[in-house]
Amino acid sequence: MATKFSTYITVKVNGRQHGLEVRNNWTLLKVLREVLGLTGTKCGCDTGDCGACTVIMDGKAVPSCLVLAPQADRKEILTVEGLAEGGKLDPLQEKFVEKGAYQCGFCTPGILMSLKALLSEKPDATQDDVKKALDGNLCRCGAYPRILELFPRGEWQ
Amino acid sequence: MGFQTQPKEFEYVAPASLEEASKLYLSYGEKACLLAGNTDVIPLMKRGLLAPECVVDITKIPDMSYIRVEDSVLKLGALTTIETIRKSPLIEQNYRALHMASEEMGSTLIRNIATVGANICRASPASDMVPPLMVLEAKLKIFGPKGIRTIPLEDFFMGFGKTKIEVGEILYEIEVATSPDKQAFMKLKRTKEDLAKINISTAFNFSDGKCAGIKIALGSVAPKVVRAERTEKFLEGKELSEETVEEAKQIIHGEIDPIDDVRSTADYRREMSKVLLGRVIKLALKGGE
Repeated sequence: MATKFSTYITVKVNGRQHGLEVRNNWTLLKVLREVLGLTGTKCGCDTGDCGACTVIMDGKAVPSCLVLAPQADRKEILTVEGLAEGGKLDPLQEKFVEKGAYQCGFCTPGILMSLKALLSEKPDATQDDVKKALDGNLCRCGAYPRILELFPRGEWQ
Repeated sequence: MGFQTQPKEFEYVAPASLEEASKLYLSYGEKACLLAGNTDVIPLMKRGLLAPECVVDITKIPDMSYIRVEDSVLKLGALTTIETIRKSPLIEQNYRALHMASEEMGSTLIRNIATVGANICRASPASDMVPPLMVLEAKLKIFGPKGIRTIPLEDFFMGFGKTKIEVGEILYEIEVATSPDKQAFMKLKRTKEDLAKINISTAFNFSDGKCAGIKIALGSVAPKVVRAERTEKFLEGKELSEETVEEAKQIIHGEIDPIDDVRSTADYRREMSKVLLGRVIKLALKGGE
């Protein structure tokens, strides 16, 4: 199946190593959803503007619709499915459930990943930090206030 | 535009060095496209506006992402992401216009993968990185089959999306040799992530109440980022009082050539060039706070 339009990659997703033949014109988003069956990550705008496709790649929150599949070679990816461990939700997810920080839930995986990346770097993130970290994650249902309330207030409030 | 639209098929190579990348680029010629920050190229490919036969991914080349100062010269690796620039205390303190521009560009997600080099080479007049780098008199270091050459940023653009880069050449470093005391950047946009309706940057030294070496650059007001040279000449050595700046406003709107487009109108852009000139100078004088 190896053609000049495809590339063999090895990629770690949620802790598991995968060896995949991917078409060069696929995006990482497509590989996650359609090859690996990890449909938690969503496609919204497909142009990097809405954040529904956010995953963590090598520690950084990135729009997976803008990453070409072959570029994922030798990268470590964390998707929303990788947040829970052994059936136990990540504390961030617990708080979301407890406070109902979502409505339709479509943007939620992307938002969780952006927040996970933020908290990995800054565990004591404030609402100001969250506003900046989520500036690329759109939520049409308007769940932002409940999301912000999960975090301590910042300097400017 | 469809759900998960796909670009036309292409070959993909990820060279491990500038030499290899340059050779590959040269061998494919016009049929190749360099890939670095992704944030503009991928959407263009999805819309069918860009259809390379080969994508040369330069992101795997080591040592292309750095922010360092050597002998008072700032050196930025072309693959340095905008977010890395934004978080750099060195840039925030000494290259404030560049810092302010990085704060206003796109979103965290976009900034995490977009690179300063790709932003420059895309040659969009709406670039947020170009105006501050232009007022900081940046020089571009370019690697190619004929060796290394240096091009001043202000001479680099030939028109919308067109630069002096030739096939086989790759921008690898941006140098800034000045660090003026007063610097600022401002951007008018509809939403947080949007491209500029108009943006502006200025840098100057300020002593005895007078400005020296003032530079002003505006984006989204012409096919290329504009250096407002006549406005600069007028303001040079002057006090930057309200009256002087009012006079300068009458010059600046004549130095740009804006159009009506989805983001704004030519009239609004001309009007805002005057307003922003006043505001960006005030902001620079206040230390860019």
